This record gives sequence, C-alpha cells and structure tokens, in this order.
Amino acid sequence: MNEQEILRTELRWALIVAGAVGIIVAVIVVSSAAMVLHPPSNVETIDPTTLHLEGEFVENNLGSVENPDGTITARILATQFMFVPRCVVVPAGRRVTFRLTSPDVIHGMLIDGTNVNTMVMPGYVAQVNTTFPEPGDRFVPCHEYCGLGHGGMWSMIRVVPESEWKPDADGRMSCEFPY
Amino acid sequence: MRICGLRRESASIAALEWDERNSENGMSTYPEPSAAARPQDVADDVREDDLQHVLQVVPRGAFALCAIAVALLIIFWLTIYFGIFLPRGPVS
Repeated sequence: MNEQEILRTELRWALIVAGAVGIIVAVIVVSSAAMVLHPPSNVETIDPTTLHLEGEFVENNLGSVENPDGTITARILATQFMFVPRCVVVPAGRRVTFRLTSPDVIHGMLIDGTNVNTMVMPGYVAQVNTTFPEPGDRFVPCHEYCGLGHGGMWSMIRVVPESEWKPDADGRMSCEFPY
Repeated sequence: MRICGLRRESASIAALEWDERNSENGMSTYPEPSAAARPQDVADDVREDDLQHVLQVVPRGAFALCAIAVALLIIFWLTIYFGIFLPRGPVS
C-alpha cells in the first residue's frame, strides 16, 4: 500500500466518520424540531425573601391548576427539606408546566422515568414543560445536596387518567401524599 | 533506567569517552556486539511478495474492525435515543 492509497483510505474513513456524526446530528435536530425538544432554560428572577407573602408561590397557589387552554401548571416550592406540596396530581396526555423556586438553598428536582431534571435556585424560577403519556405515580427526589435532611427530601407526581382529572371550580386538584 | 549499575546518561557518557579514546578513522570501536552476532536476533527472511500481501491485508482488517466499532456505537446511540430518551417524554 503506497502513500497515495493510505491517503485515500484515510479520506474514505473521514467521510464515514463524518457521515456517522451527521446521522446523530440529523436525528437530534429533526426530533428536536418535530417534538419541540430542547433543554429547559428559563431566566426569571423572584425575591426569595417574600415567596410566602406575595406572588405565585404563596401557599394557597401551590400545586396543579388547569389553565384556560387546557394545559396544566404545577407550582412547587423546594425548601429544606421537602417539596411543597408533597403530592402533585396532573392528567396524562396534557402539557404540564412545572414552575419551581426555592426560599433557602439550591435544590434539584427530577421526575423518575421522565426527562424532567432541573436545578432549583433561590432567586430564580425554574420552569420545565413536559407531557406524561401514561398514568402512574412518579418519584421526585431532590438531587442537589441541600443539607443534612437532603436524603429525606422527596415528593411524588401522581399522573391520573383524563377521566380521573376532576379539578374544582378554580381548576385545582390535589392529592394526598401516601407515605 | 540503569545499565549495569550506571544510569543511562552515565552509560552514554562512558560510551562517548570510549569512542573518543578508541575511534579509528571515525569508526566506533565501542565493544557492543551487533544484533547479527546472535542467531536469535537475526530477522527471518521475508519474501517481498509475501510482505506486500500482508501489507495489503492488514489495513483491510483494521478498516473492518474500525467500521464494526463505529457501527456498534451508532446502533447503541440510536437504541438509547429512540428506546429510552424519547419514550421518557418531551421536555422544553
């Protein structure tokens, strides 16, 4: 094999590798565009010292609520060492927007069995949109070490079938933490 | 690295000094035996056409090995993306 043949082989191999990378990039771009997938990014500030007094994260506004367009917004407060509320109920098959913030330290939130995974920082509102295709209970641990009680900081998302989604007159529905 | 109790640098300096003292017409007379002095160090005879045959075959094997490795990588990536990532629901 002379030098020219080696160069040709390297060029062929470079084209194959470029094709492999191109396949991966194409799959990501096409599926991201078709399914509106992108990393959650929301830069929205909030005063962490007045969360309990005013604004959307006051106690009686937490949990899930149905919006006029049929989508769901779930507001959750991540605090040492629990999520408030500890159980959030949402219907399957609908777009759910999670909005979270923290009054104390940095927390994390992920929903088991889904791609929902975000950090929750005091002073900022973390927002993640998703859809749960199937009903079921989803485990929600804090995944950012937040203090000695971090290991016990978890809650759950109860995904109910559309037939069981029965909000009250304000569009709200709650669930009992079963543990 | 140590050679006969000397560090490599010391051994090299000793060899140079030996050369300076014992060189004749620029030829080194450092008493280091040639590899050919021992039969086990002499290369086997290789026929040129056999050598060319090996040089033709070996790159093909390396190419096949690389192609299989990259193909498996792509297959595993697509499997995880479509089999695990997308079924876990969209996020935005």
